[in-house]
Amino acid sequence: MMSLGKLITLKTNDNEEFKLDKTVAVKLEIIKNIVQDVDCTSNVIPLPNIDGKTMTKVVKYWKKHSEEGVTEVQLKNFDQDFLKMSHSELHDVHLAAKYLDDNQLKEVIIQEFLDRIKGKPIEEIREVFGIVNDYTPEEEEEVRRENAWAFE
Amino acid sequence: MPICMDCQCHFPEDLVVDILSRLPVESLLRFKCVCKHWNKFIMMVSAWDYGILPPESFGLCLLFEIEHFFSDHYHQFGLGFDLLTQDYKVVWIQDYEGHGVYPHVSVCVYSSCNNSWKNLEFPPSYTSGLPFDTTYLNGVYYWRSLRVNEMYRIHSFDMGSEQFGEMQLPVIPNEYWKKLTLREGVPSLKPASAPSEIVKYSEMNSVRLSLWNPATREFRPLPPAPFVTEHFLCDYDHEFGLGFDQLIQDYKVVRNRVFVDDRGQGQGYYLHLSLNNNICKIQSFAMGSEQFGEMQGPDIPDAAHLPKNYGRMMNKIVFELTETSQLVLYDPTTSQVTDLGIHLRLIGCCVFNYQESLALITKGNEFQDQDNTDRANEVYNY
Repeated sequence: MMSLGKLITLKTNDNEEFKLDKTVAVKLEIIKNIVQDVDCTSNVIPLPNIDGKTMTKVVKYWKKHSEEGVTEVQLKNFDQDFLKMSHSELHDVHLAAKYLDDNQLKEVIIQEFLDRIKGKPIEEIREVFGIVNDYTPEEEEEVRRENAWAFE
Repeated sequence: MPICMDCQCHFPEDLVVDILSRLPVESLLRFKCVCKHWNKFIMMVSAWDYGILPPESFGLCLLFEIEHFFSDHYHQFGLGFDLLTQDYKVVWIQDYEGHGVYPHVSVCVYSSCNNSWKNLEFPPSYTSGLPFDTTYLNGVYYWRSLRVNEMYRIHSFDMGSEQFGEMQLPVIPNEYWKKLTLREGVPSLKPASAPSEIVKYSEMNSVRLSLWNPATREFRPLPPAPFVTEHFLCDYDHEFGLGFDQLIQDYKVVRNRVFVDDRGQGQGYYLHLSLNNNICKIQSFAMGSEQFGEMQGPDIPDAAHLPKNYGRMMNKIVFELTETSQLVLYDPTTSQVTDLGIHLRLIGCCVFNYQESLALITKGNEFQDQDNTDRANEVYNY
């Protein structure tokens, strides 16, 4: 069994280490499972799918959201600030949240993506997802015509 | 597997699925223009069951209007979707029972790909009868019927193969049959499974429920519910929902007393509108945790609006507003009411079914000013 130290160290794939209060860390399914299942003697949990830059963001989110006495409004403002990142950074955080099985963070990211594309013209959607238009103008016109009512 | 290999999209499929699956149908159709891969992908969604979106249940409303001289006949409509050909079909059954000389059933099927109706013959051995209590599951439309001096039967119509079928029923004497209600059991997860059904029959003036699975022929009367059935309540005051707890593979039935309307739902929610004290509340019963929940009802002034159907995709409920005869969509999670833009009274229709869908209803033949379409039926796509 893992020793009962108060801190857990998460180690990213670029060898950055994050020390987390155990009570914060075990809220996450994946950490809880590792703590319970793996017979390791050290408190270091490797995260092979996450880099340090992304993990910094995730840890910042966790810490704020497990702070005591923080108000709804403060959290809302924090989230707003937190989500001010590029599309690809947002995508990295989503992947990390998915790997860590943090549904709350995952939802927040998906909602942010939805907000970024909601009601936006097709050109901006392509930008958000980094997609290059592979339609010829005629083909695109045809698809638009087929689904004309959705563009009204 | 990246979804957009060819168009250099660096987003993996699962994130795109997560995002797209929360978008309304309008947005999805619009997003077909983003790139060829998204177009293909969004088209696939309507034929593809990946657990988030049920394949055929996304946004279609069948409105019907029966001309007055038909009113002495019995009609039943079924709306279905043929996954293989991406074709919406409407089956229309008319029964002339009661007209003595011509005990006769006629059936027409409409296909949205052809935009036309065709007549179908029942097999000679087939006896229909007043169609009641219809349900639709996995591409098959079911209904219950009764001919004079005969046992109840359950008939089915496969929307894909257009074949009729008949199911053997459990042996219950006719006088005990009060009402048979077909409810879906395990949707989409197990495509091979037939619906499980609740058989509701009266016994010694009290209402008893039984579970019946036509696939396995299992029949199981349920023990009486722990509350007393009051005699002054009519049958319709007793509503029930059938659900399935996927975790422990357990069928569950929830019964209530003073419900006005409900839809049993395989996802594990049981919804009803309680009109007690004129308060519009939507209650849910999670089949898994056996917890009752309550949601805020729609913020519409008059509570006497009946929920018409339960849209599975976005957990939305369709209401018909009694005052204005508007059709609205209510989303319990956001408390939003969306006007669907149909004024039933203006066009003289009522709603048969509501589903949201990605497959266009006007594909194939151009819509020709209802040339081949029977005037009595109109299909709207949202």
